Amino acid sequence: MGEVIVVTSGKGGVGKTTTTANIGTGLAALGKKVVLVDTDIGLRNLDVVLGLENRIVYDIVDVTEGNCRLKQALIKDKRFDDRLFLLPAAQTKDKTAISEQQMKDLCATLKQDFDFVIIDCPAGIEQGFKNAIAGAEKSLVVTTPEVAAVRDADRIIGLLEAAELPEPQLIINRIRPAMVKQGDMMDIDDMIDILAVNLLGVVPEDEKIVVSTNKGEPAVLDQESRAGEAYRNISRRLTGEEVPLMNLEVNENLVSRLKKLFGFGK
Amino acid sequence: MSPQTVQQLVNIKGTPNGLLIYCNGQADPKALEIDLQTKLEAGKGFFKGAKYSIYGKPPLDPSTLDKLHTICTEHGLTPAEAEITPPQQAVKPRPKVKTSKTTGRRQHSENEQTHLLQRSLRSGTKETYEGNVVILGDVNPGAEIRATGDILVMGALRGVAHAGCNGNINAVIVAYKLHPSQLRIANKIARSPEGLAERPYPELAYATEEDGIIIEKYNPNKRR
Repeated sequence: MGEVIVVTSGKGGVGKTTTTANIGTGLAALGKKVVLVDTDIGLRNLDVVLGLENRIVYDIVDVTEGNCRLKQALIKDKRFDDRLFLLPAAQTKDKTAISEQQMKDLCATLKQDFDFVIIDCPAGIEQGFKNAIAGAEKSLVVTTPEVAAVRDADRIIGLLEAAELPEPQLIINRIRPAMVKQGDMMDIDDMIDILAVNLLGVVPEDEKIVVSTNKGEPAVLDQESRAGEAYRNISRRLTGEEVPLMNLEVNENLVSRLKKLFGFGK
Repeated sequence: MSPQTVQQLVNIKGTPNGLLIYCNGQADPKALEIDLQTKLEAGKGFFKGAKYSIYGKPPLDPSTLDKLHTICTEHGLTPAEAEITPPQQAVKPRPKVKTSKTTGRRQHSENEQTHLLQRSLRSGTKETYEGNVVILGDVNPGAEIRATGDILVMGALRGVAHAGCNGNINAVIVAYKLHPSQLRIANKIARSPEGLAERPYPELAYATEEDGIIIEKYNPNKRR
């Protein structure tokens, strides 16, 4: 029996889809069996980010309407033999094409066969959001260090709590340590202070994400990428491993580098 | 109501200046002595070292007064140099209430309820209460709390709070961290000034017809 995790944020453009793709890929790379479910019906993106766009035959609506079997709609990512699958959203329908009950049933079926069922939630708090959380057991809230994104995350956390999804976990995306240091960007503590939830990970801003998203190769597979490293850490944390937050300081001075080398200092 | 009743022979009142011992002058002096004796003994040294005055109504005769003084000093009380608050004043309506009434002291109606909310209000929630409300948590940006009475936030108030929302201008808003996006009291509206640093102390907001909403450092000793 796997667990069903929804990735949500409220605000659009903060990196839900990127996070879903990277965590999913990261978990698959750790040897877990993962299925990613895109519930952003009408505005599907997850297939593009994973580079599986041209392989879609059936989608989630075909499954719920009974036009195909679930297995037929699951797209296998060839980079991981039989460990990473995508259930794509429909592009021609809208969010009302599936119901909350259908999502619950779908999640219940998927978690029989997979270690992780990760649901990419659409932006907003309407039907699409309700569908996405319907079958979930855990939730990850993605936010960026912006007042608007934090406000929406706060709203979403309230709704998740109302839906009795216990303890949402926070992923802070696109943080720029240099700007935080100068006081030009909200820092992590400010955000935790307002949102009052557990922090699962912090992902630094990384230009490589743009490249990897366009190429359809999740950054988590790029050993050079800082964001990829953060996503690898988050994936490990999801498997229950204790991983310290990565050091976001880019320009370390010699002393702290030496300290780190000798095993003390953080 | 007079503090002296027929049933009670001796009545000990605490005042800011010391103890005030009321004695029923009509009663039998011996009974007064016994009553004072038992009352002071019941205190088990609690009264020790306190300053006191004896007040008889009608006035006691000097010999009785002397005996009562002896009992008091035996129990470690010391006579006050100056007469402690005469009973006439103590029975009058307390001046504090009177003076603050003229400055618009708020009158809590007897049946005004106070609600206790043991959670934070997150963005998008709007709660309205009849009476006062105490929040054991934060009010986040994008959330709104309304009450017909006072609002107390035992955390950070970052959203919108509206106290006295049915027109009670004497309502107040108190928060451990008062950093609201907007404050409303009755029909007065205020917003936080731009770029004001967070204050590390609790603050209180009240309103007057003339000046609108005023925020000051919360002072528990100041009655409002």
